[in-house]
Amino acid sequence: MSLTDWIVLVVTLLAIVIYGVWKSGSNKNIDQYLMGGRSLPWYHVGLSVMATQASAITFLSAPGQAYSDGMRFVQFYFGLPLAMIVLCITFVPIFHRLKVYTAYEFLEQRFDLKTRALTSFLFLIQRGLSTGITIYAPSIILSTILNINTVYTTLFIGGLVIFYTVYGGTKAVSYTQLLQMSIIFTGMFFAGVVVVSLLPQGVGFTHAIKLAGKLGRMNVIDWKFDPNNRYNIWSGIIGGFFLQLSYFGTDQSQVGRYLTGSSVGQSRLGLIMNGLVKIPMQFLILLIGVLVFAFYQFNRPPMFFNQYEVNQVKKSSYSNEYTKLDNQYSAAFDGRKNKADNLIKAFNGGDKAQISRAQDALKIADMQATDIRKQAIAVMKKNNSKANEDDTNYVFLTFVTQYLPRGLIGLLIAIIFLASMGSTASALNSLASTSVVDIYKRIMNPGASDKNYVVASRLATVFWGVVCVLMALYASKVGNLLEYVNKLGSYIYGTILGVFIVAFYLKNIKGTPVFVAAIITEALVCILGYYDVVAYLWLNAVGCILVILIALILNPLIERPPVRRT
Amino acid sequence: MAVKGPDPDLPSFIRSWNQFYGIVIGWLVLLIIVFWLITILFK
Repeated sequence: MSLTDWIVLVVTLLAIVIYGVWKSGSNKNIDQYLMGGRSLPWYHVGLSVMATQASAITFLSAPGQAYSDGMRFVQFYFGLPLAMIVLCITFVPIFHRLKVYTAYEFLEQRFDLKTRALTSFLFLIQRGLSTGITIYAPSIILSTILNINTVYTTLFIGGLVIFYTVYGGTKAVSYTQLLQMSIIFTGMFFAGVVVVSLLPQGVGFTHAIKLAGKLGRMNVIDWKFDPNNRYNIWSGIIGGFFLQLSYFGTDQSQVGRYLTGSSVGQSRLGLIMNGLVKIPMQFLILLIGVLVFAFYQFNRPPMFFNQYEVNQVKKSSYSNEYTKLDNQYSAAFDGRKNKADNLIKAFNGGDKAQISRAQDALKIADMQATDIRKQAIAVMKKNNSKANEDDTNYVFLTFVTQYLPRGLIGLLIAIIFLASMGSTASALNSLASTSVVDIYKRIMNPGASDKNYVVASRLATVFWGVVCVLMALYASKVGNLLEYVNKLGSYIYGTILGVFIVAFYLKNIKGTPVFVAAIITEALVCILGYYDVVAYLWLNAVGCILVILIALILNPLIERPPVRRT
Repeated sequence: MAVKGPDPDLPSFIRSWNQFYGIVIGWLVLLIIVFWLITILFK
């Protein structure tokens, strides 16, 4: 990276942190520190909710996914607007009316203290561990691209987030997220414009999209119902709805965002904004990936985008074998480029038969290149069976660092840092809220002064910040930690969602039956997960349904009406 | 008897929250139709 890029990167990050700290003002009581005084307008709420959900991986992975798999990933978000409507109707008015700080506080008012403590404890475990990964995942990619040790990128992201989250509380988180999202939108827009301008002469935006479509990258909608296919319209609407409902309705990192709205209406508008904007935003991010794909039809892409893995194999005894494949890939690319040029000429001619012939020829050339790439990955795996064969996350950043003009590279790298910081800040804030409001204030030290709780909230933020950074540093030592953490989320999310669904919709069920149901379910889910009875993604649904069913069975047994004595 | 007016948080061009939710669903349907047309057009 050039000096200009480093300056853009550092100035952007520092400016945002300073702005967030400056706008946060003084936090005299716990309501101001954890809820921002419940005073924020709808656009703050909306952008904050979006920034919390959009982690760095969203901006790294989505264009890469479109590059290799096309646009169909956008269907994953089709359930989101529907989930926003349910939240606006059910969750938001109740949380606002009860003036709760955390979602779990509501559970005490509906059930009892033990149910509140159990769900908040489960949330702390799940969110505490997964936030470490939120920091670690982009750190490792940035360290590969920038050629810096992971420890430094982790400490930099973690340190900056801890500083402004501890200092300014929720308001700092929200104000930084407002600016972060503005810069992210601007940066991604310019990235899209630059990709189009980098296409060869005679190849415009429409040509690029048409070309990508002919190679199966414009597959936005898939109507076919197939439970084994992760991205089709049905899994997006039905599965996505439950996933988004459990995330936005029961995860404090999101609940804490929309509770900062100045009224029920402002919180609702923020969520509706998310429902309206999220899908087009994801579509445009994926479209950038498709344009990058079209760009690489005319410019030689790396055979494998993760340079770390390439260097490993080049240092090994398989180096000659890999270099030979790389040369074959260059020849295959030249052939493919030739066919891509022919297809563009056919588009200009407008002859359908010619277009069809040129498309078939390009497909064959693309398959040849893909085949050589597969052989190269096999060589990498022969050298190191644990080598990461998925280079999706590296596609977009490789393009950015190699082809974007000076200054814009720094801005795009800043976007990755900002996205990571935004979701991490929300997570730390929610971990502090839950630790202080649900555990410290309610159980350990009730009746203390507001000042005491603000200090406790700051200390809790530092504590969780340090835990998450240590987790992120430790993650590099454990190969498949990411999968363990994802599994852990599936073990816990379903149970918590089940408890909330019972709370909202099954009014006659009391606290003890749902508490016992949650404990039994958690044990059953752990057993099912341990013995791999079902794929771990299904554990969310299984956990949710089990809590509801067991609570329904236990309620008449445990909560018997008192016998009247005559 | 006091007549309950529309929620002041609502944008002026929308009469009720239910109407707003209808617009969100309509937007989702419109997006799906547009995406489907894109899929067919660029196949």
